[in-house]
Amino acid sequence: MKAIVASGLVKRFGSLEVLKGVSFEVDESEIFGLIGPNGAGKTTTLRILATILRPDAGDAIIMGHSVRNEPDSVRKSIAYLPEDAGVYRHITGLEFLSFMAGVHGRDRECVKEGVEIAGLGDALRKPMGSYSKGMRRRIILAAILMLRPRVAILDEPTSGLDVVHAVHIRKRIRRFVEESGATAIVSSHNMLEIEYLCDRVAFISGGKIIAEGRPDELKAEHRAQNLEEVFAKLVEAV
Amino acid sequence: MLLPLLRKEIKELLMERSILVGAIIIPLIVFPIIGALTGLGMSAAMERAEVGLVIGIADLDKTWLTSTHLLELFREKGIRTIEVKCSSEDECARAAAGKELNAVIMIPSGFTRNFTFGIQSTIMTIYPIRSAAISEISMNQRISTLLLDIFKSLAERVHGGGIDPRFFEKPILENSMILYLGRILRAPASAVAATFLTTLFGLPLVAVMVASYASTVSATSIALEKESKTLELLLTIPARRITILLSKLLGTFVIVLLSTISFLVGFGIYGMMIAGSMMARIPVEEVAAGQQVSLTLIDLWPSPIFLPILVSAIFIAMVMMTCIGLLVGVLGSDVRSAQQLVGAITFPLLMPPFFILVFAPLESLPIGVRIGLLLDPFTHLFLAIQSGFAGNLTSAITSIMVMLGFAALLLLLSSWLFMGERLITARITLGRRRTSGA
Repeated sequence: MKAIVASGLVKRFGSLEVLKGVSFEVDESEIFGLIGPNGAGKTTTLRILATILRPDAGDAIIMGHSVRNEPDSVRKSIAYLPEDAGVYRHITGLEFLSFMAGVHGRDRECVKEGVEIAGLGDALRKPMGSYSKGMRRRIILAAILMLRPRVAILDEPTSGLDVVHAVHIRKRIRRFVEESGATAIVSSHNMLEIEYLCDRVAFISGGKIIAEGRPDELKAEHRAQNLEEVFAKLVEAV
Repeated sequence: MLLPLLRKEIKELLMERSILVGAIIIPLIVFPIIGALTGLGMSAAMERAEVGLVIGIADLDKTWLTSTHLLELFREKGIRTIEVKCSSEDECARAAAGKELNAVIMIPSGFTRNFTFGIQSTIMTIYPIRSAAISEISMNQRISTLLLDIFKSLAERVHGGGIDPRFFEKPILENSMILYLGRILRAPASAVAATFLTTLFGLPLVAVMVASYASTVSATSIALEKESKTLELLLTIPARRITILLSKLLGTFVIVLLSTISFLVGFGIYGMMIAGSMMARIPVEEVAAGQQVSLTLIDLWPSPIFLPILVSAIFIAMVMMTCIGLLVGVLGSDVRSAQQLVGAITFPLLMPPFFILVFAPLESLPIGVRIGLLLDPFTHLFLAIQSGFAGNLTSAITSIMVMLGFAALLLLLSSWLFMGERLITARITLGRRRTSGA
């Protein structure tokens, strides 16, 4: 079974058509990258997959459930890391992990795993308002990965982070998929990060998927050194 | 250094249209309207009462002075008098209540003898208080002044130019009592007014503050999730939106409940302090004249249904305001804009009925204003409190039911806004339009 099947997703905000028929498929146990510049439609696509937005046309099936018709069932299979997700300032990291475990009906073992993934040590007992941006990202990612969702939807997971935190997060995402056999869909405008992290990628521009494939195949096909060059050639061709 | 910073601050704040509208323009428009309507209502109530002023006279002296000259002076002032047969306070109070009189005057035996000798006499007066509006107290004070004028005229008529100025200044000593919702309170109207005001003005004020606070807390609760970008995470947990909405509502209730308790305790202390200080200011001769006893809030506690009605009305108002706050929180783009928006919306909803109804009864207002006020859900909050105060159960229940209807409507609207993607995409900013990013 495919983990995600997105077909003909269209989304408009007023007169602005942000998605113009986005379609792609993601296999189980795969890390799939959605690459594109700012405003290309990455976040809107992921918000639709996370059941936060409803498509104006098309549908996405996640682990056999439609985001359009069965959002409650979809939410049981997914965990979503929003872009620039914030934290509750007055609760500690540990309380946040317990809260997330609680609302997902998980036990204390899950929280222990979250503590290990976050790797924040004693800072977990401090209010999250005192955390740096990197620490905030790590605690939210830990809260998501400890739940062992069947599909992890990660929007710009390392955006704005320093190298140390970015490397930690990339490693954790890889390890999570390898250990749990789950699926991850990751959006980024950092194409080098996607190249390191993803099994397959899709380029999105102007609300459309303009190319899709394995990073090596795409580079070979477009005779490029890296995915950035591939994207530049694709945009020129369009 | 300070000046350029100050200039920048003022310009930034004034250019923010939500501040301009909510903090400056709305009060400038709303308060004059409230003032005009309140004045209109109070004048109408006073005029209506003065035109048809009916005073019961229990004449225990029955002399040429009281049955002829005194009644003539009442007529000259446009006051209708009715003879009341009573010889004790209780009997006179019952007569005042039964005949819908504005006041009852008891003229003691021997009054004429004292009056013709220029000796000050004590007249007992009973003022019934039937509704919870400040115009009622004003009317009692007006009647008291009219009585003094009438007895001064009587003194002039009896003594002519040879009158003792001290006697002319105060020919009678008024021993006034209040027939307060069927109970006789031995205190002058001024003493009752002080304590009465804390009940009449203060309790609705507590309701206003609690309701306003509920809307601010709930608006902040949602706007904070938006501003700190935790909302999207919250919306993807495997919980139904209605559960999330319920948690927001209950969370707000708990906070507002704590705040209400705090308000009521603080207000109770305030009320007792004000009543105590006002009692201390009652003139000594008034106290000496008629065994006045000090009043407490317990003496002035209104009908038995008041407390349950008050609590229910404040609770439903809190629900309504929480829903309005949630709606505003959803529509606001951040905490600041949500709080300003909630103020701009709740201020015109709460303030006009509060200020108008505290001073003037609804029925004294022009029909158009009455309809306008009845369409405001918070008018029914104050009507419920006033009806509960006067022990009018049917009216109180009707107001509570109307409030429940509004609350249900607002809850439905909040639930609708919480469903689907409106929570993320809905935005209203005063003066700016925002669109959701790709």
